[in-house]
Amino acid sequence: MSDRVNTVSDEGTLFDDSNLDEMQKTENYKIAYRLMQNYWIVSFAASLGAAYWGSAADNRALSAMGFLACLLAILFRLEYSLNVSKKGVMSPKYAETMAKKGSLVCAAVLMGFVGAICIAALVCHWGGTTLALFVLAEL
Amino acid sequence: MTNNEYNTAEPKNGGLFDERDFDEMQQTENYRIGFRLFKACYWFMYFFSMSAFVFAVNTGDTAFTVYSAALMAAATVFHIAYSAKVSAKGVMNPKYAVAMGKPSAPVIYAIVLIIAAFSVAYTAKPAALPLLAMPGAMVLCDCFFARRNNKILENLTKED
Repeated sequence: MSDRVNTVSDEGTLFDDSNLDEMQKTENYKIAYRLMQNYWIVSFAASLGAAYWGSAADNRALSAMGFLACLLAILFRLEYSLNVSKKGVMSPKYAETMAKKGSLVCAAVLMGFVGAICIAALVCHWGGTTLALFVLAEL
Repeated sequence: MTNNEYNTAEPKNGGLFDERDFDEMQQTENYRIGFRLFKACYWFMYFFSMSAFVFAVNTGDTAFTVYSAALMAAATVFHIAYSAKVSAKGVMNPKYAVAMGKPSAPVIYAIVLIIAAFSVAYTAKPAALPLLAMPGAMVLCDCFFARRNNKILENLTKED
Protein backbone atom coordinates (compact mmCIF):
# COMPACT_ATOMS: atom_id res chain seq x y z
CA MET A 1 0.00 0.00 0.00
CA SER A 2 2.71 2.45 0.97
CA ASP A 3 4.40 1.88 -2.37
CA ARG A 4 1.26 3.05 -4.14
CA VAL A 5 1.94 6.56 -2.85
CA ASN A 6 5.43 6.53 -4.29
CA THR A 7 4.60 7.76 -7.76
CA VAL A 8 7.96 9.28 -8.63
CA SER A 9 10.94 7.18 -9.69
CA ASP A 10 13.80 8.32 -7.47
CA GLU A 11 16.58 5.81 -8.07
CA GLY A 12 19.97 7.29 -7.27
CA THR A 13 18.49 10.59 -6.08
CA LEU A 14 18.49 12.14 -2.62
CA PHE A 15 15.16 10.47 -1.83
CA ASP A 16 16.26 6.96 -2.82
CA ASP A 17 16.11 4.68 0.22
CA SER A 18 17.07 1.41 -1.45
CA ASN A 19 20.64 1.09 -0.11
CA LEU A 20 19.89 1.91 3.51
CA ASP A 21 19.59 -0.56 6.38
CA GLU A 22 16.44 -0.71 8.56
CA MET A 23 17.71 1.73 11.21
CA GLN A 24 18.89 4.23 8.63
CA LYS A 25 15.57 3.94 6.80
CA THR A 26 13.60 4.63 9.98
CA GLU A 27 15.76 7.66 10.77
CA ASN A 28 15.36 8.89 7.19
CA TYR A 29 11.59 8.41 7.28
CA LYS A 30 11.34 10.25 10.58
CA ILE A 31 13.18 13.29 9.23
CA ALA A 32 10.98 13.36 6.13
CA TYR A 33 7.84 12.88 8.19
CA ARG A 34 8.62 15.89 10.38
CA LEU A 35 9.49 17.97 7.33
CA MET A 36 6.30 16.88 5.60
CA GLN A 37 4.22 18.29 8.44
CA ASN A 38 5.92 21.67 8.17
CA TYR A 39 5.95 21.64 4.38
CA TRP A 40 2.27 20.83 4.25
CA ILE A 41 1.37 23.68 6.60
CA VAL A 42 3.58 26.17 4.71
CA SER A 43 2.15 25.18 1.28
CA PHE A 44 -1.39 25.25 2.58
CA ALA A 45 -1.06 28.66 4.25
CA ALA A 46 0.74 30.09 1.19
CA SER A 47 -1.92 28.80 -1.20
CA LEU A 48 -4.76 30.17 0.95
CA GLY A 49 -3.00 33.53 1.14
CA ALA A 50 -2.52 33.58 -2.63
CA ALA A 51 -6.15 32.63 -3.27
CA TYR A 52 -7.34 35.44 -1.02
CA TRP A 53 -4.86 37.99 -2.35
CA GLY A 54 -5.66 37.04 -5.96
CA SER A 55 -9.40 37.38 -5.34
CA ALA A 56 -9.00 40.72 -3.57
CA ALA A 57 -6.78 42.11 -6.33
CA ASP A 58 -9.03 40.63 -9.04
CA ASN A 59 -6.06 38.69 -10.38
CA ARG A 60 -7.66 35.57 -11.85
CA ALA A 61 -4.41 33.75 -12.66
CA LEU A 62 -3.13 34.16 -9.11
CA SER A 63 -6.38 33.15 -7.45
CA ALA A 64 -6.68 30.10 -9.74
CA MET A 65 -3.11 29.11 -8.88
CA GLY A 66 -3.83 29.65 -5.17
CA PHE A 67 -6.97 27.51 -5.24
CA LEU A 68 -5.20 24.79 -7.23
CA ALA A 69 -2.26 24.71 -4.80
CA CYS A 70 -4.76 24.67 -1.92
CA LEU A 71 -6.57 21.75 -3.53
CA LEU A 72 -3.28 19.88 -3.93
CA ALA A 73 -2.44 20.43 -0.25
CA ILE A 74 -5.88 19.15 0.78
CA LEU A 75 -5.48 16.11 -1.47
CA PHE A 76 -2.15 15.27 0.16
CA ARG A 77 -3.67 15.54 3.62
CA LEU A 78 -6.54 13.26 2.55
CA GLU A 79 -4.06 10.80 1.06
CA TYR A 80 -2.10 10.77 4.33
CA SER A 81 -5.29 10.33 6.33
CA LEU A 82 -6.43 7.49 4.03
CA ASN A 83 -3.08 5.69 4.21
CA VAL A 84 -2.69 5.89 7.98
CA SER A 85 -6.28 4.78 8.52
CA LYS A 86 -5.81 1.80 6.16
CA LYS A 87 -2.79 0.69 8.17
CA GLY A 88 -4.57 1.43 11.46
CA VAL A 89 -1.88 3.87 12.53
CA MET A 90 -3.93 7.07 12.74
CA SER A 91 -3.37 9.04 15.94
CA PRO A 92 -5.65 7.23 18.46
CA LYS A 93 -6.79 10.44 20.15
CA TYR A 94 -7.61 12.10 16.83
CA ALA A 95 -9.33 8.99 15.45
CA GLU A 96 -11.44 8.70 18.59
CA THR A 97 -12.50 12.36 18.48
CA MET A 98 -13.28 12.37 14.76
CA ALA A 99 -15.18 9.07 14.87
CA LYS A 100 -17.70 10.40 17.41
CA LYS A 101 -21.22 10.84 16.10
CA GLY A 102 -21.32 14.44 17.39
CA SER A 103 -18.21 15.36 15.36
CA LEU A 104 -19.75 13.95 12.19
CA VAL A 105 -23.00 15.84 12.73
CA CYS A 106 -21.13 19.09 13.50
CA ALA A 107 -18.99 18.68 10.38
CA ALA A 108 -22.04 17.96 8.21
CA VAL A 109 -23.91 21.01 9.59
CA LEU A 110 -20.86 23.23 9.09
CA MET A 111 -20.36 21.97 5.54
CA GLY A 112 -24.03 22.58 4.73
CA PHE A 113 -23.90 26.08 6.18
CA VAL A 114 -20.73 27.02 4.30
CA GLY A 115 -22.11 25.48 1.10
CA ALA A 116 -25.29 27.56 1.42
CA ILE A 117 -23.30 30.76 1.92
CA CYS A 118 -21.07 29.93 -1.07
CA ILE A 119 -24.14 29.38 -3.27
CA ALA A 120 -25.62 32.65 -2.00
CA ALA A 121 -22.31 34.39 -2.78
CA LEU A 122 -22.37 33.03 -6.32
CA VAL A 123 -26.02 33.93 -6.90
CA CYS A 124 -25.72 37.43 -5.43
CA HIS A 125 -22.36 38.08 -7.17
CA TRP A 126 -20.55 38.90 -3.93
CA GLY A 127 -17.24 38.40 -5.67
CA GLY A 128 -14.17 36.25 -5.26
CA THR A 129 -13.03 37.85 -2.02
CA THR A 130 -16.16 36.74 -0.18
CA LEU A 131 -15.89 33.28 -1.68
CA ALA A 132 -12.25 33.01 -0.66
CA LEU A 133 -13.18 34.06 2.87
CA PHE A 134 -15.86 31.39 3.08
CA VAL A 135 -13.54 28.71 1.77
CA LEU A 136 -11.05 29.82 4.41
CA ALA A 137 -13.76 29.58 7.07
CA GLU A 138 -14.70 26.11 5.86
CA LEU A 139 -11.17 24.83 6.18
CA MET B 1 19.75 15.57 17.57
CA THR B 2 16.59 14.71 19.46
CA ASN B 3 13.21 14.08 17.87
CA ASN B 4 11.82 17.37 19.01
CA GLU B 5 14.73 19.44 17.79
CA TYR B 6 13.46 19.58 14.25
CA ASN B 7 9.82 19.18 15.06
CA THR B 8 8.20 22.60 14.91
CA ALA B 9 4.75 21.56 13.65
CA GLU B 10 3.23 20.88 17.07
CA PRO B 11 2.42 17.19 16.56
CA LYS B 12 1.42 16.78 20.21
CA ASN B 13 -1.91 18.56 19.89
CA GLY B 14 -4.30 15.67 19.35
CA GLY B 15 -4.37 16.41 15.62
CA LEU B 16 -3.88 14.09 12.67
CA PHE B 17 -0.10 14.36 12.98
CA ASP B 18 -0.05 13.53 16.70
CA GLU B 19 2.12 10.43 17.28
CA ARG B 20 2.17 10.18 21.06
CA ASP B 21 0.32 6.95 21.70
CA PHE B 22 2.03 4.76 19.12
CA ASP B 23 4.34 1.83 19.63
CA GLU B 24 7.61 1.59 17.66
CA MET B 25 6.13 -0.36 14.75
CA GLN B 26 3.18 1.99 14.33
CA GLN B 27 5.50 4.97 14.45
CA THR B 28 7.76 3.50 11.78
CA GLU B 29 4.76 2.78 9.55
CA ASN B 30 3.51 6.31 10.10
CA TYR B 31 6.93 7.75 9.28
CA ARG B 32 7.14 5.65 6.11
CA ILE B 33 3.79 6.93 4.86
CA GLY B 34 4.92 10.48 5.69
CA PHE B 35 8.20 9.94 3.84
CA ARG B 36 6.49 8.70 0.66
CA LEU B 37 4.02 11.54 0.75
CA PHE B 38 6.71 14.12 1.44
CA LYS B 39 8.56 12.99 -1.69
CA ALA B 40 5.43 13.07 -3.83
CA CYS B 41 4.26 16.40 -2.37
CA TYR B 42 7.71 17.91 -2.86
CA TRP B 43 8.00 16.89 -6.53
CA PHE B 44 4.42 17.91 -7.30
CA MET B 45 4.81 21.32 -5.69
CA TYR B 46 8.20 21.90 -7.25
CA PHE B 47 7.14 21.19 -10.84
CA PHE B 48 3.80 22.90 -10.29
CA SER B 49 5.46 26.12 -9.06
CA MET B 50 8.12 25.92 -11.78
CA SER B 51 5.50 25.70 -14.55
CA ALA B 52 3.51 28.48 -12.89
CA PHE B 53 6.65 30.62 -12.75
CA VAL B 54 7.35 30.15 -16.48
CA PHE B 55 3.71 30.99 -17.26
CA ALA B 56 3.76 34.05 -14.98
CA VAL B 57 7.02 35.40 -16.43
CA ASN B 58 5.62 35.07 -19.95
CA THR B 59 2.38 36.86 -19.06
CA GLY B 60 4.22 39.60 -17.15
CA ASP B 61 2.03 39.20 -14.05
CA THR B 62 4.19 40.43 -11.16
CA ALA B 63 2.05 39.12 -8.28
CA PHE B 64 1.76 35.70 -9.89
CA THR B 65 5.51 35.63 -10.59
CA VAL B 66 6.35 36.51 -6.98
CA TYR B 67 3.96 33.88 -5.62
CA SER B 68 5.21 31.05 -7.83
CA ALA B 69 8.84 32.01 -7.10
CA ALA B 70 8.02 31.92 -3.38
CA LEU B 71 6.47 28.45 -3.71
CA MET B 72 9.54 27.27 -5.61
CA ALA B 73 11.80 28.81 -2.95
CA ALA B 74 9.83 26.98 -0.24
CA ALA B 75 10.33 23.67 -2.05
CA THR B 76 14.05 24.44 -2.43
CA VAL B 77 14.39 25.27 1.26
CA PHE B 78 12.69 21.99 2.25
CA HIS B 79 14.94 20.01 -0.09
CA ILE B 80 18.01 21.65 1.48
CA ALA B 81 16.62 21.10 4.99
CA TYR B 82 16.04 17.40 4.26
CA SER B 83 19.52 17.07 2.80
CA ALA B 84 21.06 18.83 5.82
CA LYS B 85 19.21 16.66 8.34
CA VAL B 86 19.91 13.31 6.67
CA SER B 87 23.58 14.20 6.21
CA ALA B 88 23.83 15.27 9.89
CA LYS B 89 22.68 11.78 10.83
CA GLY B 90 24.81 10.08 8.16
CA VAL B 91 21.75 8.45 6.57
CA MET B 92 21.92 10.07 3.13
CA ASN B 93 21.50 7.60 0.25
CA PRO B 94 25.04 6.11 -0.13
CA LYS B 95 25.02 6.11 -3.93
CA TYR B 96 23.92 9.73 -4.08
CA ALA B 97 26.34 10.77 -1.31
CA VAL B 98 29.29 9.18 -3.13
CA ALA B 99 28.37 10.81 -6.45
CA MET B 100 27.78 14.27 -4.97
CA GLY B 101 30.64 14.04 -2.47
CA LYS B 102 33.33 13.88 -5.15
CA PRO B 103 35.59 16.96 -5.05
CA SER B 104 35.00 17.62 -8.75
CA ALA B 105 31.18 17.66 -8.44
CA PRO B 106 30.66 21.20 -7.04
CA VAL B 107 33.21 22.63 -9.51
CA ILE B 108 31.49 21.05 -12.51
CA TYR B 109 28.03 22.13 -11.33
CA ALA B 110 29.24 25.68 -10.60
CA ILE B 111 30.75 26.01 -14.09
CA VAL B 112 27.59 24.66 -15.74
CA LEU B 113 25.46 27.05 -13.68
CA ILE B 114 27.58 30.10 -14.52
CA ILE B 115 27.47 29.31 -18.25
CA ALA B 116 23.71 28.71 -18.11
CA ALA B 117 23.15 31.92 -16.11
CA PHE B 118 25.07 34.02 -18.66
CA SER B 119 23.26 32.46 -21.59
CA VAL B 120 19.85 33.04 -19.92
CA ALA B 121 20.72 36.61 -18.93
CA TYR B 122 21.80 37.56 -22.47
CA THR B 123 19.37 35.59 -24.59
CA ALA B 124 16.16 35.15 -22.59
CA LYS B 125 14.29 37.10 -19.90
CA PRO B 126 16.50 37.75 -16.84
CA ALA B 127 13.38 37.11 -14.72
CA ALA B 128 13.89 33.43 -15.52
CA LEU B 129 17.15 33.40 -13.53
CA PRO B 130 15.45 32.01 -10.38
CA LEU B 131 14.70 28.91 -12.47
CA LEU B 132 18.44 28.32 -12.55
CA ALA B 133 19.36 29.73 -9.17
CA MET B 134 17.10 27.47 -7.11
CA PRO B 135 18.10 24.08 -8.55
CA GLY B 136 21.68 25.40 -8.56
CA ALA B 137 21.52 26.20 -4.84
CA MET B 138 20.03 22.75 -4.23
CA VAL B 139 22.79 20.94 -6.12
CA LEU B 140 25.61 22.92 -4.53
CA CYS B 141 24.18 22.44 -1.02
CA ASP B 142 23.77 18.72 -1.76
CA CYS B 143 27.47 18.53 -2.71
CA PHE B 144 28.41 20.10 0.62
CA PHE B 145 26.05 17.92 2.65
CA ALA B 146 27.14 14.77 0.80
CA ARG B 147 30.72 15.46 1.86
CA ARG B 148 29.58 15.99 5.43
CA ASN B 149 27.61 12.72 5.29
CA ASN B 150 30.67 10.85 4.01
CA LYS B 151 32.85 12.36 6.75
CA ILE B 152 30.37 11.32 9.44
CA LEU B 153 30.27 7.77 8.04
CA GLU B 154 34.09 7.69 7.91
CA ASN B 155 34.30 8.78 11.56
CA LEU B 156 31.73 6.15 12.56
CA THR B 157 33.72 3.45 10.74
CA LYS B 158 36.94 4.58 12.46
CA GLU B 159 35.27 4.50 15.88
CA ASP B 160 34.03 0.95 15.21
